[in-house]
Amino acid sequence: MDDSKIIELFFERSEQAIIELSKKYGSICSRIANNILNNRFDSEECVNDAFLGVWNTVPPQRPNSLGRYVCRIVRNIALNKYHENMAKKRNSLYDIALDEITECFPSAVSVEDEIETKEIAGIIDRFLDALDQQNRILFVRRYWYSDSIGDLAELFHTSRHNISVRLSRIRKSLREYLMKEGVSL
Amino acid sequence: MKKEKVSAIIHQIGDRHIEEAAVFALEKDRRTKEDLLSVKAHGEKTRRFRRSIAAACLALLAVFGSAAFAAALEIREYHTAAAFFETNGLSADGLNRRDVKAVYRDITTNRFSYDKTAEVLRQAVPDWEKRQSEPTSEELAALWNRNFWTDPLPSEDGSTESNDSDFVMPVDTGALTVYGCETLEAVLSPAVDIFREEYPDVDVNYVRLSEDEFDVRISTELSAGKGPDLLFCLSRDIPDPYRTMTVRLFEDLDPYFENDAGFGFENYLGEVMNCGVLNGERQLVPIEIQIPLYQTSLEAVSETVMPDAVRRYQEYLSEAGEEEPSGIIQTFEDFCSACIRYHEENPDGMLFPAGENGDDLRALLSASGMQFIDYERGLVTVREEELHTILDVCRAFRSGNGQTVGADEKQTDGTKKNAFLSPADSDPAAVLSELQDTRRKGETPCLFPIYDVDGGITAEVLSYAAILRSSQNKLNAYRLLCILLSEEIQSGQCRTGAEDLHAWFPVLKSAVVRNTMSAYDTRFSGISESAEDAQLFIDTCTSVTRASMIPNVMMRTLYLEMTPYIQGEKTWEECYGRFLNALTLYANG
Repeated sequence: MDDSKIIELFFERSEQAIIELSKKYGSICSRIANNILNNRFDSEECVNDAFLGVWNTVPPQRPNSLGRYVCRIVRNIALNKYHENMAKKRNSLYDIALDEITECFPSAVSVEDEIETKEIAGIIDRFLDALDQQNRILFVRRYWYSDSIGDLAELFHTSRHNISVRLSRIRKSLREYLMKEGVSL
Repeated sequence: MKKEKVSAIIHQIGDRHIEEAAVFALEKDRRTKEDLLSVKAHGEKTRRFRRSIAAACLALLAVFGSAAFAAALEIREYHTAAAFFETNGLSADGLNRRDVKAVYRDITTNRFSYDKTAEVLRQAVPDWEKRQSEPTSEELAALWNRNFWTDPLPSEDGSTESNDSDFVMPVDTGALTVYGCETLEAVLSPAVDIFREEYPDVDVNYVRLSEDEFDVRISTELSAGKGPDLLFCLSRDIPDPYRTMTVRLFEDLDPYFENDAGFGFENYLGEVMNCGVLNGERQLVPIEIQIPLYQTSLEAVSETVMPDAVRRYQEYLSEAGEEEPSGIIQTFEDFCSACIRYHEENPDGMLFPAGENGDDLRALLSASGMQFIDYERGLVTVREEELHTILDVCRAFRSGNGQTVGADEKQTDGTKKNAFLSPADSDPAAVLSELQDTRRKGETPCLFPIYDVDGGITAEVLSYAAILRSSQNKLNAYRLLCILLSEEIQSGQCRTGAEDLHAWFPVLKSAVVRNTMSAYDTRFSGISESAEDAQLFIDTCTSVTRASMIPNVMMRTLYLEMTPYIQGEKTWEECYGRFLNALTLYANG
């Protein structure tokens, strides 16, 4: 079903909206949550909370892209849950992807060198714009969706090693790009 | 703190990128579901048959990688062999297709050890049969050399090959075609820029392709004996580079290098450059490698399990002037034993940190330096004991679902402290920084190589270059190849202004030194510990003795046949037998 039709169902306050939303985006939402939390029970809870979040906010909101909207909500909820759980152990794909990408950011010499989060996100957006589509998607799938190397190899019909090499080179380019832009954390 | 901020930054990546990636994955899911539905729509009667066919195809693909590519190579090799028989007046009567190729390989590699070769020569030299009933390889070689086969061996295009002393550099055609894609861009693009600057009269056709287009185009064109003038690709872009070399698809580069006064193999790491030599011809040249260099800290692994090799290597490097690393355990087996001991004391610990380098089997196999096939003789050469040791390590570190603990799909605790080893970055600045960070945390850092099964250090080739025999612009291809091997590109500090080009280790010794000292001078100058670290990094990298490639086909076959052993589902004998059979089939194919 088209996003616009699902949104109409939300506006009509029809429970069918949740069913259609789940049908279309349930799988991707579960994967995002599970990549971050590595716990099926917690992930299901996050997805349910996210769907409830959509129910509570649409209307009045009318998102341009329902998929993007629900993905952001579920990621937000999963990250909050992750920080709650984080106490001792890191145990998810999210940790690994975060470790990888953190290495790209040069360390600041002093606090004054820090740039605002949003501004850096904008710089990364420009960097992504300059990549070819495949590599851009690869980067986002790895570091935003926290997909595993194995899943990415399957998604891109290639070997795990090829994915690793590509990601490594993208990270290297990103690091250079961030340095040129004077970004440090 | 830094991680939290990075997490917040990544979370704010623009909507358009998030949506694009979501749509891409959803589309893939949709297609997969459609495929499944279309299969379901077929009747039960045909389903079983189709499933069998699909399973057979999958098995074939798994064993042979790109089946079409392999088939094309086989056809090409057979035609070359048949032409060789015809040119030299040899009879193929009584020989099957495989024998014809084997005899051809046997003669052209000067081995004369294949049993059918003697029979072929007997038929060609009737008088000789009466004089010699069971000739040795040496006698057969002598027979070949002194009889009417005195002409040089024919090449695939029918022309005769000259020996090195007669070699004349190809003429400048004023053109060059080369293919690139995003993964290769970082290295290839500045190399092409330098080429354009040095040879402004040459018309360079630099074809930029997407990753997928690159793979498809290379596979398709190479199997037809065509392609760019200079092939520059990752070692896994071709299912089996060694097999490709057996059909002599690429130019022998030795005569080029020998006639080039400006080139010296002694400037490159150990025997690394020889990994592309097959049947006496240097067909491939490595451009980037991965050195089995690892980091850990004494505190991260307990004293009892700390491999002596690590500790003593540290001591050795601190003893200035000592030339031989006396007392160092330089065996792969000892290293594997240390891994097992570590696992016994840390059942939840990982061998390598989860993530992109978390494939235990691949990392260990690569470091071991083992090759499964002798491509020159078409023989399987698996070292069973060593392979068994590697798989036992993987088996010990496997998790509940049978995957190795290092695999990122199923890790337990990803802190570096809970992993035995962490692969060292090829960027010296990152390594020096990591070692300093470890000290800041109050720990004692270690940086050391894993020795291969022969006591050396084997690097894995990550990218290589080759000139196609069919190239019309060989001189310009060779010029670009030399630029890829030059200090400018190898050190990543070239005139184009691009810096730090390499994601991986260079093959040129001086580039290792230059990169490391540059990193030290820029960021760590004056820190005495970092000076030692820099020297340690240089020493280790320049100690590499050789390089090898692990063909995709081999890895796939290994995973396919040996995973049940790693998962504890089948015995060694069952799995190893199947693995050997698959390899034998492939080696004789």
